[in-house]
Amino acid sequence: MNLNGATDQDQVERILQGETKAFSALIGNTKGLVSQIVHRMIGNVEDRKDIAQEIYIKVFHNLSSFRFHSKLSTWIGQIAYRTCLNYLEKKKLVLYSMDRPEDSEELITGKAIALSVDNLEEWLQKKQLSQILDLAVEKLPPLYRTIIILFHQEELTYNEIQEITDLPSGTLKNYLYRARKKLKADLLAQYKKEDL
Amino acid sequence: MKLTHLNESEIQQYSFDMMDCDQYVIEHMNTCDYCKKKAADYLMISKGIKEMPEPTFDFDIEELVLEGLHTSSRSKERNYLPYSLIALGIGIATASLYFFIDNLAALFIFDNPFMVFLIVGIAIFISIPIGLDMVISFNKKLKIMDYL
Ligand SMILES: [Zn+2]
Repeated sequence: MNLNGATDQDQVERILQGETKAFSALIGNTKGLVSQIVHRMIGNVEDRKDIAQEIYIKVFHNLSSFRFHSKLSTWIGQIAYRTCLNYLEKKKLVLYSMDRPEDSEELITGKAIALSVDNLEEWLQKKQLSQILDLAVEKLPPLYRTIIILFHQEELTYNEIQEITDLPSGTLKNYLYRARKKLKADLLAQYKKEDL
Repeated sequence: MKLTHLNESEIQQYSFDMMDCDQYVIEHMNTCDYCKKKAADYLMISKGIKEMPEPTFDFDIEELVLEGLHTSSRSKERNYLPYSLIALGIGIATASLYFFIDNLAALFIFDNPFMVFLIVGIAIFISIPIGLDMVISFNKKLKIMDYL
């Protein structure tokens, strides 16, 4: 049983007894995570609203089957992720592939990194780092974007991200590695551009 | 100690999963400024992501969801049609059984092959689409469950 077990259990019981306030509170507590997943996975602004509503209606209808094997928030994250995944698959949108991965490969392993590594940190300190990164993260494919955010911004553990995404441990670590490498390459590319 | 510099994977592992690092990676990091700088870049990226503005819904999600649940439960409450149809069907069947019980007995004297063909034919005709519909809706439900 997880640390939040008691409070999760209490909250679920109150919702199942028909307490609307308890369900509102659950939405309030988890909308940050759900919003992250929906925003990172779904590019279309108009569809986000329907998907967010669909997620919580699924949560409500399936709450009686929740077995407390994970945190309630992780379970809701899983429903959010699967609902978005379902949407992307229906729309046949690209989920994994990086655009031109050879670019990042060249930048990271080739000459570029040796030329700029000394100054990257310094350059980043001068820039509005989070703004540059925001743009770089946006360029990642939805799946990479989501796991990078869940790990670095939401600070979820590997186990929690695995539960949400259903990715095997090795795959998750590999995707995180590739996403960070791509982010770094993007920053280097931008740094190089400005440096010229 | 590793004499060549660490690769990206080792540097990322040092930066984010130090507990899983091999001893040589830690030893190398302790002595190599070049690799230390590369690790610092990654930590800087991580810090930058942490500081990024978090997206929020530009609508009231609580209200939207409660409204959606209210609508779906109301439409469920109002849907009396199937029940009324079933009740009507049972009513008609009972009434006709009561009034035409004698004629019904005559119907089941199966010396008329046409009557047998007619009854069995109708039964098959009705059960095929019902059976198909059941299979299709069962598969659909399984699919939905898959995404829950
Ligand atoms: Zn080194």
